[in-house]
Amino acid sequence: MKLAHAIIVFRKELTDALRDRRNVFAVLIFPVVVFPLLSVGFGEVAESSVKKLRTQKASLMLIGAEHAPGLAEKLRTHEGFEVIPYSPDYARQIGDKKLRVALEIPSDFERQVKGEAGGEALPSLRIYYYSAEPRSEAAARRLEEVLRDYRDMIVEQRVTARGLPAALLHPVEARAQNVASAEKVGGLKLAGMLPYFIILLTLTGAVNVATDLTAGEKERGTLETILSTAVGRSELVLGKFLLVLLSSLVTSALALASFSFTMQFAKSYTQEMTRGHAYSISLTAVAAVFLLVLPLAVFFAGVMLSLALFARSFKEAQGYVGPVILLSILPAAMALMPGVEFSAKLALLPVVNVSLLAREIFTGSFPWGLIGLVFGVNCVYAAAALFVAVRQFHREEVLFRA
Amino acid sequence: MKLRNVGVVYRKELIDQLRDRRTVISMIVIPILLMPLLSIGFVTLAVKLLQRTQQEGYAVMLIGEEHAPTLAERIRATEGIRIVPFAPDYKQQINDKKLRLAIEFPPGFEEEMKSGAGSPPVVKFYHFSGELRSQLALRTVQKVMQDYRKEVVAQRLEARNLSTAILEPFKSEEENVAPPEKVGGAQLGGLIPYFIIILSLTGAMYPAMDLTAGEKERGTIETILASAVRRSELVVGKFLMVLTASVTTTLLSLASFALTIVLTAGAAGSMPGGSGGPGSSKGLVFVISGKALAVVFFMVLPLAVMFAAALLAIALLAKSYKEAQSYISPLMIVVILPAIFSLLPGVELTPKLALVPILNVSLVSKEILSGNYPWGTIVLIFASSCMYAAAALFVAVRTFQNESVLFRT
Repeated sequence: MKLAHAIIVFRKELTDALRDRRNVFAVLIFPVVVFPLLSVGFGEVAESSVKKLRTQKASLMLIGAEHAPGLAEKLRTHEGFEVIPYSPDYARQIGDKKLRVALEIPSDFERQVKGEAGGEALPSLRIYYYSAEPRSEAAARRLEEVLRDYRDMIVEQRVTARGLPAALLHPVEARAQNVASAEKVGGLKLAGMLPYFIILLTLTGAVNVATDLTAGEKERGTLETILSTAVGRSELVLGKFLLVLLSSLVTSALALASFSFTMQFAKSYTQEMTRGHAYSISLTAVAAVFLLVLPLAVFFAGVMLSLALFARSFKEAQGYVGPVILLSILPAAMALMPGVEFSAKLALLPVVNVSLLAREIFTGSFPWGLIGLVFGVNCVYAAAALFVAVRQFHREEVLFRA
Repeated sequence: MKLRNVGVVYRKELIDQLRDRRTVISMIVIPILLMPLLSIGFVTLAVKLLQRTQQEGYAVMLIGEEHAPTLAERIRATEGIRIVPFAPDYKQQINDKKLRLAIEFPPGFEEEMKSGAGSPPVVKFYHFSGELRSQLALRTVQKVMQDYRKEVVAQRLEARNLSTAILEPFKSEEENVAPPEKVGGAQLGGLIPYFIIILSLTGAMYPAMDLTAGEKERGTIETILASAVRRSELVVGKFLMVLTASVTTTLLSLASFALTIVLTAGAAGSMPGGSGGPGSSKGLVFVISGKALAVVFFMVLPLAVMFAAALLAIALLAKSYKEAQSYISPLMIVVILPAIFSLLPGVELTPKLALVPILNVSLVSKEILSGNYPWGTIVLIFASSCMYAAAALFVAVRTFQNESVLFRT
């Protein structure tokens, strides 16, 4: 195998791929412009909808408000609720989302509370809501909070009425303090998203080119011509492989660059993501992640080439490649799952290892031993995939399947 | 335009698509089987990983344990908490996620609890804000603290010969009043329209490319144009084929999706840290009425027509498969976005939103699945979708009649 020949094949494929300007434009516009704009735009909308959920007044119906004038007054003046007049079909109104929540106050409530009834006679309030409907659930939770405050207030009154200090009720003060660095807290959400996108783009960047260079050649009938040249099979694979790898790396690098660029302009979204903490990605982190992604890209390129070569047509190749994309999306999404953490055992799982370890790196931890281990493991997978691809190109029954 | 000729074209395309068994299998069977299997495997793995750490318990460090022996003993005995010996670098350990939580008791804590004379002592919890396991450990320990606090208060009241009944002035209970199918609709209502819309698009994608750009690439489009079939008949025949593929994929994938949910519901239900709203601990209930599904499908139909026609027109612009692909992949993202709106919690349908093409179907389907049938809006949205679909079909027919598009160089 001569490297010079492989490079000639690579140059030929590169020229071929770049020749069609319109196509290059369409391929690039997706990761560079559409993807970051959409993700940020979507994030903004999602954030504002959640904010609306938090701040909007929820409609509340009081059933038997006259039994607890004190509590009713408290709810009427509460800024989170809009108390609407009573009507007997409250359950249906809640189901129809016209009413968010209803509170039923038993008769004699105020008197029983005043009289300090206990045991069986303890008055009971009922909150009616729509389970699993976000606005109704939020309203029910807010209502519970008001009730808790009201309860604390009554208990305090009872204690002070007996001439005891209210401090009696608060023996301990608990104070929670975050000790994680601002960078780690801020990076928590972003650090899970970034590896997911990087892995996905590394994959999608390889897919279209790999199918075009194999199944596409078969469909156009140009594969035979290339095979009859003086270039050896291995050199041919290597040249094609290099282009697939390049496309994969360029796509993910471009998307990352434009993503970080867009983040600069979407301040409110970024701050929501980082919970207002300062967060930046260090150069060391970028370098370490690149080290992890490189063998992964080689692995994807090898797998995609062998799979697509097996197909006789573009259409068939799509059928094979689609499931592989599905197969990679789920492990890549592992980093998005809160609570799933990297361990040495997981280092052996191909895509999962990069996804989880990259998240650690983006939050500022550099477990160099594990990084080396994952790099080594992925190099083995990459070599295996490349080996299979070369073998496939040597098999006539794969090249000329009928 | 003769309907019979359209039928001939449609039958020819259908046979063409179904002839290659291997392709049919790779396009339909594999994704349908793979999707449930993968999701099950993935969810099981994630759950297993989480469960294992729960069994091991979250690492918690006690600082100044000797100041509060009673409370420390309680925390030690708590399930899911593993006490590790004191080390001065606890803050660093929390940062490295080796330690989830550290609790600092001030000197004289125990005595103060007994006497209640001075100001309340401060117990400090050091945690990793936002990190799931640290938050779970914090919540567990705070619950222990809460119980301990209540006990101390009760003891203090008893010491003063007061009844502890004064601590509970009233009870409060929560009750869900929405019927089960509405609850099921609210849980899954956003997800189903999202999937149906995406699937009706992806199902149309490959046939649309194959029937236009593919024909160009294979050089067969000239032959077909030379036959006695007219252009408009040709488009409608091809369009019907794409629509068939889109509807079939959607139905099949939905079936496999339903299967996935049934199979993974058990595993997913045991995930910690899920939505912790009131009543959600009862587990997930999946009750969705058949009528609602039928109406939703009816709403998506004009949308599928629009996708099929639009994809045909776009793919016909391309000279090759590769080019068609690079035009259509960005389009997919453009469709996913409005579809995703139905997944957002706060967004509800307004008359203005009823006119935005994909978004309207996505939002009204969510309403329908949770048992609301705003018939006026439903008819309005159906009519507007039909108009969009007709426009897309018109454009597709026009594109096919344009020689400069058919034979682009």
